[in-house]
Amino acid sequence: MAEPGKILGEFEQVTLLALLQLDNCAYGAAIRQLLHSRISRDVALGALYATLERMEKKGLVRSWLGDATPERGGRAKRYFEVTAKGRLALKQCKAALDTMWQGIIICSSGEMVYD
Amino acid sequence: MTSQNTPVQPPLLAQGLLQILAGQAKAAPLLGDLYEEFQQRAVSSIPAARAWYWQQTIHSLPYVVTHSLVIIKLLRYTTYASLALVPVLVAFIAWLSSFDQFPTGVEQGMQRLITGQLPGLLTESAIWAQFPLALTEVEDLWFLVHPPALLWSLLSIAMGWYCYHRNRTTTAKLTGIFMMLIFTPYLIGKLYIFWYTPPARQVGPVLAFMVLHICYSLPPLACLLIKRLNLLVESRHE
Repeated sequence: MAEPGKILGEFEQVTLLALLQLDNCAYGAAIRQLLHSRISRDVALGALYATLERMEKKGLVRSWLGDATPERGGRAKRYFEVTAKGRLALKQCKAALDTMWQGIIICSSGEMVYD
Repeated sequence: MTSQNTPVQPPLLAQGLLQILAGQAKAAPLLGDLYEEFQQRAVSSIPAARAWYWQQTIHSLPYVVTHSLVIIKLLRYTTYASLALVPVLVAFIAWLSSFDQFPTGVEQGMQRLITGQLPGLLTESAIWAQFPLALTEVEDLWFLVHPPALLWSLLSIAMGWYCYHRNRTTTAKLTGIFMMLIFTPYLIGKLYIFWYTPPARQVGPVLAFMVLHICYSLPPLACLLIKRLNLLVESRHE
């Protein structure tokens, strides 16, 4: 079980969502490029790995090493996958955000009002 | 890739830096990811790809440094080396307790002593030459007992022990906390002497407190830190 009331950080959420979108091919470079293309987030690979490892310690993701390939200079890929705990945390986060967004209207001018 | 289809090499220095700091096993996936994207970028512009590689390396340094086995080992050796400060300070106090006058060659020795400029004095070779004689002339070890410093050190060690056993305290934080616990009384003493410029006879107890606190608290806290660093090195090797 994810800890109740613990909301994921914004970057943790987008990283978990990127892992889900990449399904079983989520590794550092692919995640970085997806974040760049989808949300224009130019993140350093080191920062991405730090977040992924922090989430791995929390049990939200798991990782394993793939085979070394020549197009990577003979180095292995480190694949990441969202665990059941990670999926639950994401669902809780979405539910919390949806609840908080209820009644908030974004006007055409960009202003937000609570109705 | 170039037109001849031979891969362009990323900046060797950046690669080496990441590899040395992170270690072969830890750096491999990161270097592989960088290599892969570097090759894609090199198709359009090699200088831009090199600049990107360096930018990624620099921005990845905080991650690499915090996971670096080299840095952990360096910190462990530094901690071992810091223990050498204790006998030096004990010899200095032994010399001060039988203090007659400053040896020739030490300029403004008394002035530096009463203003708490101990690091400066400890770099004077003329003073170091007096240490062996001072230690052999010591009749008892009462000069090493300073109840206020002892009490403060016990509190510091208890605080350090608590932080060590708290699961959430990272090694970097623990190092910072231990440094603070060991050297804060010294810094406060320095500030007190600097601001209030007390008369010479009042400086003695302050100096004794500053120096003896380091002597009391450094060995146990350094041992705790070495223990944590050893555990970290072991876990990184697994």
